[in-house]
Formats: sequence, structure tokens, C-alpha cells
Amino acid sequence: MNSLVWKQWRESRFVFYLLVAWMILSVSYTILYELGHGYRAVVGSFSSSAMLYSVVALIVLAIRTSQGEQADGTLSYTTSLPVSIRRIALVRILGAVGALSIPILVAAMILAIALASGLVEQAGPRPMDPYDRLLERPSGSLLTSLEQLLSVTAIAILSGAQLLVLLCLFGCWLRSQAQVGLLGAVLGLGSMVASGLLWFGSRKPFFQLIYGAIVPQSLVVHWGHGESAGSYTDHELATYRWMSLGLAIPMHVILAWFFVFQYGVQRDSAKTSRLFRISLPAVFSGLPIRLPSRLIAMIWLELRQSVPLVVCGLLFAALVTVAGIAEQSWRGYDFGTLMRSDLPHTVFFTGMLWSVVVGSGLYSADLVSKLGDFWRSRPISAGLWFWCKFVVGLTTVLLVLDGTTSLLCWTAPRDKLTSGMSWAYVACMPIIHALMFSLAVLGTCVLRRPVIGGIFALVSYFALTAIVEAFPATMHLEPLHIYNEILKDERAGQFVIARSDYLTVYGAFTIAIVVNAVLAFRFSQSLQQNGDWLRMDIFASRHLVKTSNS
Amino acid sequence: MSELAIQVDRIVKSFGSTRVLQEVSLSVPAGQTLALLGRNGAGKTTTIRILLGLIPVDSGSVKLAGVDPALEPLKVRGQVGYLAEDQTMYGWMTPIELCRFLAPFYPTWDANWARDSLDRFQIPRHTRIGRLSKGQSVKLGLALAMAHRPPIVILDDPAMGLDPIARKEFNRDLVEHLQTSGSTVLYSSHLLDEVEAVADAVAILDAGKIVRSDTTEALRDDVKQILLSFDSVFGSRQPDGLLDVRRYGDRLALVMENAGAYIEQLSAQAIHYEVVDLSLDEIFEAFVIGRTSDWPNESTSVPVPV
Repeated sequence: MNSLVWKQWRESRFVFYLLVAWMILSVSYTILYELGHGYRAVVGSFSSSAMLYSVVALIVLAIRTSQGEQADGTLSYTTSLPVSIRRIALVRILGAVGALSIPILVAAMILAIALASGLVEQAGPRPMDPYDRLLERPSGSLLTSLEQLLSVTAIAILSGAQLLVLLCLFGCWLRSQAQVGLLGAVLGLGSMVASGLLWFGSRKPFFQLIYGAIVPQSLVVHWGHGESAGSYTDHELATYRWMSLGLAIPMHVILAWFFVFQYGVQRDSAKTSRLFRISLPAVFSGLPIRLPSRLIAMIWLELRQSVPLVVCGLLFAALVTVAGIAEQSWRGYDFGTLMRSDLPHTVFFTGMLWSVVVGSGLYSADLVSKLGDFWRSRPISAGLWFWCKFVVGLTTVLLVLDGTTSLLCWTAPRDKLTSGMSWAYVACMPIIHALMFSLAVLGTCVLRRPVIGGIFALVSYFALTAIVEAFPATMHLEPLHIYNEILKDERAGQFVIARSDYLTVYGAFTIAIVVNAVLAFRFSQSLQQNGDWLRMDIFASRHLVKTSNS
Repeated sequence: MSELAIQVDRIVKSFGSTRVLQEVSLSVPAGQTLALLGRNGAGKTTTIRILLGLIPVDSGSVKLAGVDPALEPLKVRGQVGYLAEDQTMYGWMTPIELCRFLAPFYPTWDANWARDSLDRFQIPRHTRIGRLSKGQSVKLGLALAMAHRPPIVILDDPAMGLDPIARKEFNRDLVEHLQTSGSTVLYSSHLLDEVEAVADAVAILDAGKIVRSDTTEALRDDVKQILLSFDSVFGSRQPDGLLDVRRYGDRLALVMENAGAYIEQLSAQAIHYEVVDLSLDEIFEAFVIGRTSDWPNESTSVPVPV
């Protein structure tokens, strides 16, 4: 058993160090931001950042846990060892849960010390009246603040662990790490939707108790507030949260148990994945299509790859919209009108995720050696390959996601700031989506791993906005703040696109899109994979060098 | 046969501090089938990637049909039919869709020939490539590599991963095609039985160096196994061209390069010997793992008759 634990540690320690660093940086940012602004909202900020961390970390960990040995080709060797595969699976899943949880605990301890030392304070718990502002509430006692911190820590750990185990379980049947990553992104976003879908809060505490056991994320709800000098996150905890969490633990254990058994049984992913392959008819194959030139052939190839992927994103956005409609009042509209009214707001944030999925997905397969060898050995220039993929992929994202949404929703009611289509959307969102797409392409071409490339894109964007938001002098440059200002002006009858902030920020984004693409092109040309350090065993290789030297 | 289709002149290639190719030279006349033999890691795939212009050389020069692949890689790839070991194609396409996609890239693409090949190889036209069997995928790769009627064909261990029967079937199809196409072929493999039937010439690559290059016939004539008694050569100087020595009791089995000269020498000394013809597999083995340390010299223990 000790050997298995040691192997697990050696395999995952690089990721673990990264995750610990992430959470320490995150909690440091929370404390410094609080020291600068004094909102007394550290627990809410910590909770929301821990939730975001959980989603990203669980995807990375689930990929390695469920598919790592298949990808490395070591599973058959591992199964030949004189140890039960179930025991190996148990160590893997426990190791992954530990790697997810410990960084959150470390960060929570740092924040607890800051609270206990009086460095920062936390406002008292959110009362029943949802309109009571945090800034007007008195500070909570140390004991209350620590209990709040303990609650959000436990919720972040258990909600992350639940999705991690679930994703690992599904990963046993999937074919590749990329598929696990894509499913993880959908599950992560789905869990965020689900946490609000049937959120009862303090209105129906017993329903919340049950629902919280199934969806632990729903035990805390975050409320973002913008002030003139900054922003803060308020939070509200479910009344019977500890009982819910207590009920959630046996469900986690059952899921983990399933994983342990499935990891043991489903060893040949190639065979089992056939069960999950959707057998769509090859419609285009029977059509007598003639591709008259190389350029048209490449465009056709990229359209065939990108359109289905982006359409899935639009359907996903529609599903999220339906979920959103289910949890709100219909304001006297029929379902279709409500869909058209709410879809733009959903596409705005799901589009950010899906642009990343499409950017990573389009490039990743062509960059790996097997398919890479195929097209590289043909008279296809690297420039034609890259730029066709980039232009066609980006155009598809913008036309299918933003274009379709704009056309469908232009005449929809605009009775709330976030409902209906607007010129502000047209001016801002396609540029943000294009930026995310280009970042994902850059990440994938540099790192040669779609999921890590996608995470690179998301982390880059959110880190950038966090830095911009951290300083009062640059807060007004936050891209969504600019969008909101333009939207407010538009709804007030004054649509001014030529604001200096808009031109500065979105102009810079446009330049960044081009720069990202050029850099990605340069990195994509190399035949050799240069992302080997991401195998997460660099320390092991150093050790080998030392050993051989000695 | 005099015009050179592939010309490699003293190429050197390193990855970091590891030198993968050391002064490798090859000449393949038009219409010849050259088997490039080597163990895993000998440098075969690196050589082929250089021929296709996928990676640059550190020094030396390469020409395919008179074109430098480093300068005009697309022109070279347009004239080469390439089939790689374990090559993957777009799994969501069907074979006929892949043919349609590739056709515009090759001015000489023969659509009728491609369709006929699919039929002859019994590859379903409208089944997604991801659902084809391993054998069907390899045959599809061969059909696609030949469909533009390339003057040069490069095969990099194409039958790797197939079961023995599928490999034989694939090789049978390959031989048929090569016999009718008249292409120049560079066939890289370490499965000797595959190439023996088709190779006009052989180049043996070991640890980044060409250790022998000749026509198959000349190689078979030149490299022989010689069986003789231990005593007859005990204490004599190790002959030039000795590739391998094995001792079986009081008998020695020598594998010699330039065996004719040594045979004459043995005859002149009235030493009794037997000559055994070797297969390509045995010749290759002698070049890459042959050991001469068993040559009987003063320090070798003399067998005592019981």
C-alpha cells in the first residue's frame, strides 16, 4: 500500500504544488483586496474563488485519475502487478480528492489566521431580507466569522470532491483525456446552473437540506455587488448546511466505490467507448461533392469539424437558458419569448467557455503525432492549415453563437438590463469570445494538450480581469464593466460606442487576438511536441539524472 | 536505373546533445525498391522525416527527384506517396470523403484508380474511418499514398501492429502494386520477411550510421556463414570483414562480409569449411548484433575431446 501511495504522490505532486500555489495566491489576493477596500467580505470572496478553483482543479485531476494510465500506456503494466486493481483505483481517487482539498484547507487556514489576528473582518451573516446590504451590516464575531469560513470551506471541498468523483467515474468509459476535459467543463458549468436552479435558501430549509445533499454547491449562494471604488462578494449559507453535508458524504462514498469497481473492470477504453459512440449516418459521404481547390478543401474540412462543435455549444446555451427560465418568474411572457429574451445573457458567458472548447478542440487532434504525421506529410502548407483553421473556426464561433443569437433575439423584450439583445452585446461579446478562442488556440499550440491549453485561456482571462479590478485606477477598464456601462447608456437611449475605455480595452483585445494567432502559428509549426514538461513528472526526471550521475 | 530518385549525402542530425544521424548517405536509382533496415531508434523515421522536409538537417544535403525537401517541401510531398507506421486519418471522415479532400492537393490524383483500390482492398467507401479495422486502415493508407501515382513511395514500417495474417495480406497487395507502378520505393522496416520479397537493394542503418548498403543480390553473395573447426583457426589473426562468431563445442560459425576472399584464403591453407547462404534477416542480425569476441585467440580455452 505504501508503494501505491508513493507512486500516486510522485505522479501528482507537480499538480498538487501548482494547486497549492493557486489557492495561496488567491487567498492572498482576497486579503490584500480587503485591506485596500475594507468591505468586510473576505469569506464570500474566498468562497467564490474556491468554487472556481474547485471546478478547474477537479477537471485536471479527473483527467489524470481516470485516463492518465491509459494515455501513458501503463495501465496494462499496472494491472499485471500483484496488487488488486481496485486497491490501485482507491489510492488514485483518494489521492485526487486529497490534491483537490488540501489547497483549499491551506488557504482557509491562512484566512482564518488573518481573521483571528484582526487583520481582516467579516460582516455578519446575511439576514432574511435579501435587500439588506452587506456594507450596512455590523461585523460578525470572530466565532461567527470562523464558522462561516469553515462552512464555505467544507462546501467547496465537498462540492469539488463530488464532481471529481463523478467525472472520474464517467472517465472510465471515455476514450481520451480531451473527452474527460470537455465533459468536466460541461459538468462544472452545469453544477453552477444546478446550484441556482432549485435554490431554496432560507425559504424552504428542509427542501434545501435534501437538495444540498445532492448538489452541495447550492448550500452557498454568492451575490456580487459593484461599488464606485470596487466590488465585493456577499454570500448566503443554507440553514441546515452541516446536515446536508453530512448526508452528502455517503453519496460521495458510493460514487467513489463505483469508480473503484469501474476502474478495475473497464480497462480497455477502446472497447468500452464503443458503447458511447453515437452512430450518425455519414450524410456528406453519399453526396457527389467536388472540391475544386486546396483552399476550398481546407475550408470544407474545417467547417465539417467546427460547425458541429459550435452547434453543440449553442444547444448547451439553450439548455442553460431553459434551466434559468425554470427558476424565475415568466413576467407574463410565453416560453419562446422568454427564451429569446434570456438567451443573449446565457450565450455571453457560455460563449466564453465554448470559444475555448472550439479553439482547443480544433487544433489538438491535428497537433498530436499520429494525425499530425498524416497531414504534414501531404502537400499542405503549415500556413494554409493554421490560418484556415483559425479563420474558419473563429468565424463559425462568431456566426453560430453570436450571429444566431443576435438574429433570433433582436426583437425580444428588453425589460431588464440583462435581457434581450443590444448593440452593446454586438460591440463587446464577439470580441471577448474571439479573444478566448485565440487564447485557447495559443495555449493548445504551445502546450499541445487541449485541456491544459483551455485552462490556460480561462485562467489568463480571469487573471487579467482580476488584476484590472484590483486597483481603483484601472477598475473602469474591466471589460464587462465597460459592456455594462455601454448597455446602461443604450437602454437610456444614448448608445455611445466611441467611449475611450471601449476603444482602449476592446482595441487592445483585437490586437491581442492577432498577436495570439501569430504566436500560435509559430508554435504550431514545430513537429516535435514541446509540452512534455506537462507530463507532470519533471521532478522525477531530475531525480533520474541525479541518480545516473551518482 | 541510372537516374537517382533519392539522393542523401552525408546528412547529420542531432536532437539536443543526442546525435541521431551521423554522415548518412543513400542513393536510390529511379525504379528501385530500397529496404532501409534498422532496429528501433536506429534513425529510420528521422531519415524519412528529413526526406519529406518535415525536419531540417544539421549538415549534408538531400534531393528527391532533384528537389531539396528543405527548400521546397510541398513540391517534394506532392511527388511522394507516404505511408507511416500507425498513421491516423480523420476518423470522422469516410474513405471516399478523404479521397475528395486530398484530390485538390495532387494535380496527378487518379480518382478512378483510388475508387478501384478501395474496392479491390474491400474498404467500405461510406463507413467512417474511425470504424474501420486496423488492417482496413492500413490498406486505405496505402491506397491514398498511391492514388496520385507518385514517382517516389516512402513506406515507414506500414504493417506494424497488424497480426501476421493481415501483414501477409497487406504485403501481397503491396507487392502487386509496386510491381505495376514502376515507382521508386524506400521501404523502412525491421520486419525482414516483409521486405525480402520486394527489395532490390538494402541499406542497414545502425545507431545513426549506414553500416552497409548494396543490392540485395550482391549482399547475399557477399555475406556468408562459414562453418569450420575451432582448431583450424585457433591462434590465427582475426580476419577482416568478420561480423559474427559463434562457438558450438569444437565448431565455429563465422559470418563474414567479403566472404569470397576469406574462402579463398581458407582453401589456400587447405582448411576444411562449409559455406551457408544467409537470409536477409540473418545478414541484418550479423550487422547489428554480431559479436566477434568469441574469435579463438590465445586466451580462449581450447575444447578438450572427451
